Amino acid sequence: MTDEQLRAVVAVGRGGFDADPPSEEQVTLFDAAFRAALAYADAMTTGDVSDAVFERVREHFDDDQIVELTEVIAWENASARFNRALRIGSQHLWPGSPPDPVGDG
Amino acid sequence: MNASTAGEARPNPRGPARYPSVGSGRPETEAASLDGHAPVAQLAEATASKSVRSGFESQSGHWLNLGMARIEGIDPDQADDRTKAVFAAQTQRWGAPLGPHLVYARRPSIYRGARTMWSGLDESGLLSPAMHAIVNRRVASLVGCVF
Repeated sequence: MTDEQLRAVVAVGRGGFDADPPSEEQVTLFDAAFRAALAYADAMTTGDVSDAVFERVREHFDDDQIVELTEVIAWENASARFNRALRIGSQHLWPGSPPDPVGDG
Repeated sequence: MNASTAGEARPNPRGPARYPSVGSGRPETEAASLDGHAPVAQLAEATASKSVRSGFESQSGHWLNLGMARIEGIDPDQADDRTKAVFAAQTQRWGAPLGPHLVYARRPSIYRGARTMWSGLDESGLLSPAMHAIVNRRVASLVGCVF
């Protein structure tokens, strides 16, 4: 895992990992399995998971892996929403950590 | 890169060891005047002001930055022994207890449950730590959670 990957995963807009074809940068930084997992994370976090997105996941992960991946995403949604709602600030453990939220920002 | 084996050194998805830890300095704010023995009311008063970053120095001397948190975390020195041990391990690894954990710890049963889930995900082990970390960061970013 590289700093470039960690930064890119934040920089790409919503649904950006669903692009077909994927951008050159995405192909360089993430293999097809990662891109499928990220598209799945986007779908779970921002709405519903379409059959097309889920089929992409199936192409790269077996059923047990999908259960783990789904819970990773679901649990991160829970913990991230906990942090966001309570405006818990960053301890800047990651490269490119954004500024702490201010007020309703 | 195979999805089940991708990645390098195993990072903790909630705070990778290879990145700089906290504790590099106290924030340049009024909150720095609070000492580790500040009563809860004093901390609450300080954090109620949007001009003050919430945080305080624990009795063990670690600066605990909770950013603009709406609810203060516990003072780790006042935690039960098991929780103290968790915070001590975090301090050793990251330089200070992790902010969200201090808030979770206000309700010990909920904190235990959260830790159990984090442990369970780590132990499952079918996906690489890199996959966990990157997916987590993506989700946090979408939700607007700083990291």
